[in-house]
Amino acid sequence: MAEALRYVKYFFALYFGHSNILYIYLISLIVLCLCGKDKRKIIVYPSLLLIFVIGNPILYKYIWTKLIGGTYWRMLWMIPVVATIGCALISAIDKINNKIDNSLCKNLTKIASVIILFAIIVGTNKNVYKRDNFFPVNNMYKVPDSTVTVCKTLIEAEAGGEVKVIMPASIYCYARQYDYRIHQMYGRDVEHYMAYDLLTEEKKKVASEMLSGNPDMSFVTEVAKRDGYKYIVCEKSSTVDNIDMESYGYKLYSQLDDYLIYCAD
Amino acid sequence: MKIILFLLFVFVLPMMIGELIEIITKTKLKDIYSVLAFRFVVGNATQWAVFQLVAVPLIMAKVKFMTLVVCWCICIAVLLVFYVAIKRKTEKGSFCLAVDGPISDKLTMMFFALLATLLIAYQCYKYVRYMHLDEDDSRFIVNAVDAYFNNTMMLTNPTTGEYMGTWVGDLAKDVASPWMMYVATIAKLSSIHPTIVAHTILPPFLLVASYCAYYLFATIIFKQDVLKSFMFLSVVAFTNMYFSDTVYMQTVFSLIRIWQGKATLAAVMIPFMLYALVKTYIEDESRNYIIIAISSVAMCLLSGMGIFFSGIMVGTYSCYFILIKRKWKYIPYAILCCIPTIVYGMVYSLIR
Repeated sequence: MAEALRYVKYFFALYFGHSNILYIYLISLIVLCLCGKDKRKIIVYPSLLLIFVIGNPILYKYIWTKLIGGTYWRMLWMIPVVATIGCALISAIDKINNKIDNSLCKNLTKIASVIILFAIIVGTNKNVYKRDNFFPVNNMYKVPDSTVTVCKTLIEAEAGGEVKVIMPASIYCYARQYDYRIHQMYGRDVEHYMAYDLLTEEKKKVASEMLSGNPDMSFVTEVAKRDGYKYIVCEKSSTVDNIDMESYGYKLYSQLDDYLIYCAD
Repeated sequence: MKIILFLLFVFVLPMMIGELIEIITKTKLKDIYSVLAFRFVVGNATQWAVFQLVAVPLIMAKVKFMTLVVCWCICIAVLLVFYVAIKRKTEKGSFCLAVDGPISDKLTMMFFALLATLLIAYQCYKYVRYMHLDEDDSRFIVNAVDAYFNNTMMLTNPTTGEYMGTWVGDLAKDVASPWMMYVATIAKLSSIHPTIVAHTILPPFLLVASYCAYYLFATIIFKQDVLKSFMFLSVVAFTNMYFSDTVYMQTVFSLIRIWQGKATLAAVMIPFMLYALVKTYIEDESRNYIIIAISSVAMCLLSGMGIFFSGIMVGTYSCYFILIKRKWKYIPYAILCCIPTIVYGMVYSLIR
């Protein structure tokens, strides 16, 4: 049970991180408690009950881990944190405005309170849009431009038909989002995701070689040719650039900005 | 033409179906903003719920994707027939646009309405012009692409493109919660590539639905006070942008990757379910359980977690509200609303 409680605390800490939103939320619950029976009954008590249900170590150990597994932290989405903060602010302003008669002053209080809350939040938290991995787009599919270029080149090479290809890790998650005709030897499944068990040992070894940075291309090309993978795409920065692929039966078909496409003879 | 068709299925039809639910549940909304918000969210939720009811048996039967599309369209058409029939017998309501009271109240309401609109518009703009690369899409989006082009549902290995004839690995989880099949359906009906629908066109609509759900929650808490509701919406919209210290937060999923079913669950259906449960408590009206039931089934479509979250939210809040108000007559309704969790939970467990 102690271990279950430790995991629950760990996931709560993982979820809230170092932001002060948790403290603003707890303060909001206290504010709502002071704002009347109504708000306590509708918001505070159900929220606390939900937190108890979600964070209960007994339920965690015997039910939540079986249902949700390693993504237990998603249960914390059910806690209405942002809604509670909004309700608390407005309820607190109502309490203050009860002492003010002038309607203009009441409204100025509302605006000022919201601006103060915004200033506190901005000053102490990170903007979601400043995260890494969030950047302007150049294509409507919203996959990397290089993926679009590589896939278009391959589809044109096969005159619109199916393309069997070995893709590098920087592309394999995105290629099939762009075009269903791209058939890869492996993709994210080599990361033990989706259908890892369906990969043959040989394909796992090919993936391991290609991801190693110094692949044994005689083995890779032998498997590729035998299984009908006509194309191999490599990053320009990889060591494959220095290998004589023609000796393995793959000639350079196209050189793009960041990628080299090899085609079987 | 494609965009018109898209708007038809994501906006026009949900508004009509939403109005149907509004009439059936006798939901009384005072201002035009809450009327529009209610119809938009509950209309979409109803479409999702109908899709879930139709899709899961058809996917388990391994039928063609177009069969699912046609069946769902027939169900929506039936709802529209009901809508036309009921609307003729219903009186037109009247709604207010702005607050009553002194001019400073009206100006303050306009200030917060404008602030909320600008924040939401900014977030929608970010969805259209920026991108977040997510490796989970190598399964989710590719499922939709394979359905759209290959006319099969989750029978293809999304990594390799190889036809498997059955559900492989993690795909088995998606059988009980086929949100990406819904995205593929909308893409098919509007003839737009599913990846473009998911990544670029659909997210702003889902984000607006999310804030509509929050607005409705505010109207129920603040007794249909429009000024307070817009103030609440501004606070929520702003706080969402800064509640992002870790990648696990609900707000990050809402503002960065809302096209994924689990993110739509976090952004739209959890707040809407909260609204529906609180509404039932405050209004003491059994017809509100229709909205809860629709939300329960819709949550099951979005994600495997949604199957269990709907049961947890309905169970927890219903137990509490029924105990507080001692309205034991609502126990059967609450149990009925947990049936989707039980049924789809069993499907999820058996197939996984």
